Amino acid sequence: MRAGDDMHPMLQRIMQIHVAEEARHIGFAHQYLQHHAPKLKRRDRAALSVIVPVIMKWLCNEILVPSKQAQRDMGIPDAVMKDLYWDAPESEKFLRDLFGDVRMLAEETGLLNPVSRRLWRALGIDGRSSRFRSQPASAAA
Amino acid sequence: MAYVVTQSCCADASCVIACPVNCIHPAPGEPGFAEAEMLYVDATACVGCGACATACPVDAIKPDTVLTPDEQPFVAINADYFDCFPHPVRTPLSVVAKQRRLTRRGPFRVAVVGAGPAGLYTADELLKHPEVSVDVYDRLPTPYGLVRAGVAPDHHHTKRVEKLFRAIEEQPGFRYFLGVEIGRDLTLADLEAQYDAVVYSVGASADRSLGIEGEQLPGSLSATDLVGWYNGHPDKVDLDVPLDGTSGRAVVVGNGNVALDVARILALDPAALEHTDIAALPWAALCRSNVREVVVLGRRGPADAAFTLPELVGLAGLAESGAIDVVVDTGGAPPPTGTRKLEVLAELAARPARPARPAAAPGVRRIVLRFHTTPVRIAGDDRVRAVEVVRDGTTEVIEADLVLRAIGYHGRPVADLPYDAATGTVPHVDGRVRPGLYVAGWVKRGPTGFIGTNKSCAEGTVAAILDDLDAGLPTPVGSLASIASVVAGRCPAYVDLAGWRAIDAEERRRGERRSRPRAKIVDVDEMARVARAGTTPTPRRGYPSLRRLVRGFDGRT
Ligand SMILES: Cc1cc2nc3c(=O)[nH]c(=O)nc-3n(C[C@H](O)[C@H](O)[C@H](O)COP(=O)(O)OP(=O)(O)OC[C@H]3O[C@@H](n4cnc5c(N)ncnc54)[C@H](O)[C@@H]3O)c2cc1C
Ligand SMILES: NC(=O)c1ccc[n+]([C@@H]2O[C@H](COP(=O)([O-])OP(=O)(O)OC[C@H]3O[C@@H](n4cnc5c(N)ncnc54)[C@H](OP(=O)(O)O)[C@@H]3O)[C@@H](O)[C@H]2O)c1
Ligand code: SF4
Ligand code: SF4
Repeated sequence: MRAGDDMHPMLQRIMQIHVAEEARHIGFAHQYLQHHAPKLKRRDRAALSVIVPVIMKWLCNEILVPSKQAQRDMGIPDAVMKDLYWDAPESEKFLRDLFGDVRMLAEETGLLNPVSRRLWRALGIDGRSSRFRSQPASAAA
Repeated sequence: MAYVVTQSCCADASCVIACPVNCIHPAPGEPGFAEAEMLYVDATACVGCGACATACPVDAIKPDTVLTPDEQPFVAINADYFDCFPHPVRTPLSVVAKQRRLTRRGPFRVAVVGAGPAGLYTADELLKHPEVSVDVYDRLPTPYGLVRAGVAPDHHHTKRVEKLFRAIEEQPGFRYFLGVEIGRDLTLADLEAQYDAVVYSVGASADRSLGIEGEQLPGSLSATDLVGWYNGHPDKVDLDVPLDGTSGRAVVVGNGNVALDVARILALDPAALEHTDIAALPWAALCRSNVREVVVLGRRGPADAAFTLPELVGLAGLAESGAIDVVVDTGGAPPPTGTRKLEVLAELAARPARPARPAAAPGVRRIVLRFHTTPVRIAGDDRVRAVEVVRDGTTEVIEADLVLRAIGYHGRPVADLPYDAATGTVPHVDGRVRPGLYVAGWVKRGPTGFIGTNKSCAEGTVAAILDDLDAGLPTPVGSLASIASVVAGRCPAYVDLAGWRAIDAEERRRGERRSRPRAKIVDVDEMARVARAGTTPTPRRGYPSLRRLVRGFDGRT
């Protein structure tokens, strides 16, 4: 939708409503977290800082990567799967860009520290934080 | 709950991209964007997600539930826009073109001359390309151009754009060479030899003159100088501003936003400015000021007033709260109506004027917005005593000790660049002076527009640079390291990013003691000293680090 591509009008309408609804949830969630994060205890914050990237990456895989069953049904070769999810340089970049907003939130809530940063990198979801929600990532990001 | 765009909007359109329902207009590329005084939220489409507010660099967007009384008029102002321009055909999201990529491999180096908004937006746009690195030069040890030395101290929301500038500076590939004047310390030829491309974004630093008798008298100043003075521009610290005159009146010629800025600073109770970043000595001078009335002269009528609606609404808010007394003087003619700006003026005109002569009136000071009035002569012997003005063919004398011309900025000729004397700009096509040499910001467009206007301006210039890099430009000599040593050779006291961070931190530290956002350092030598002291490494802890114990040295130094 961002690129202004032609889409079936019904699909477009559904996506439009979905995006607007999600934006409200995300908006609420961000504010809630920013409000409550400063109250975290040191230990809890440290624990969260390493749990968050792991959970986010796992969720991302759950949502984006087709299941083994689906892979078989669609007849996608293993090598292609490997490239797409997340080995090829384009996929790596796509993955990192997906997390720009989450990195921003993690930064704002004090969940980025030297240890967790390394974890983000090991999971392949490091990079620059967005400056604001849904800022398009640049080639250099 | 809908969100509302308020006074500080600087039209950079970050919010447009953030909005998930594309309800903020006019968007870049839409008709009216280039002339827009601000952007507007369509309350009927807004879903209240707040994404726009996170994107706004100047905190201009707020939920309608938290608006202060002064900001309430903006609800109607936002709605007005969509009554006139409903934008019935909208894409679901504002369309962002896929980022263009360079076809040649690079690496490329670009020099940006002038660290004002235009220079920093140019750097930001270039640094979206991993092949490009950018060196930003400024003649002052402090960056941000008119955001630091122009924007009025009481516009603290607007100053928050500094946070965006900090994010731009933090990007890999960005370097500062501050305190280096191009044309004096280095020439264009020096830069062209070492960079693939050079962009000038040096602004428009001079003022225009009225061309009337008496303009040279002491006490007749340009708003350009006064603005630099109260904002702590190092070139303007010694300005002689006669605020102790017996007439108790200052006259401002012209009624653009700069005229309103100047009038407000002169008319506000100094206590209201105490917790801003206004420079210390000017503030002390304002505390002793005798000025009780500031007359702002517009040569045309209210319908042609040059100030923008958001700024007028801001002034009306001050009048409403009793901080300043505002009088609208149209010379007896009933104030015209028809646009919201005229309505706000008419409401101001309908307010009961406070009695008493200016010099005798205690407390609240007054701004008179006077229309259809042209100055013809500034009178005085050894200094300004009065201004002779003409309205409807009748000549009148307004007693005043201070006359400020706020009739626009004007670009000076830039060393080594062509110059168009009429507009005070550098002749260019789409930002290109010639392949390899470009302009952006006020030196390109002339002295109009808001901070954010420079963003679209910079994008245009960068498109031309990318075209030329793709087409092929001569390969420069040297390397990033050799450039740094050339600059250090010519200008040993130059300030880099770490140095600017040190100055910034020191100013904030000094400000904190007096609960101000910052206490500006106004002396160039002191700035350089603070920068040097702040960047020479001092041990952070009182005990050696683990690394030092193990390896025998500290990796940080
Ligand atoms: C008084 C005033 C108040 C304003 N208030 C607002 C506001 O509240 N909101 C808003 O949206 N807009 C405001 N504006 C408009 C806004 O400031 C301008 O649109 C913007 O600053 C122009 O950017 P620029 O980068 O082209 O020029 P500038 O900001 O002037 O930057 C030019 C830079 O180049 C440097 N330079 C000059 N010559 C050389 C040289 N030879 N070598 C190296 N460096 C050099 C200068 O030191 C300066 O830092 C205001 C303007 C003025 C004059
Ligand atoms: N958002 C903000 O807070 C803010 C603050 C400051 C500046 N800015 C922007 O910065 C830009 C520059 O502002 P500006 O105030 O310097 O310029 P401006 O808006 O162009 O205003 C110049 C004023 O001077 C008058 N004038 C010009 N020549 C004159 C003459 N010979 N005699 C008498 N009057 C004369 C003009 O009147 P005529 O209209 O009759 O020519 C006009 O009123 C503007 O785009 C402004 O919006 C924005
Ligand atoms: S609150 Fe959300 S929907 Fe409303 S204008 Fe802002 S970004 Fe758009
Ligand atoms: S300043 Fe920029 S982001 Fe903020 S409201 Fe104006 S256009 Fe939108």
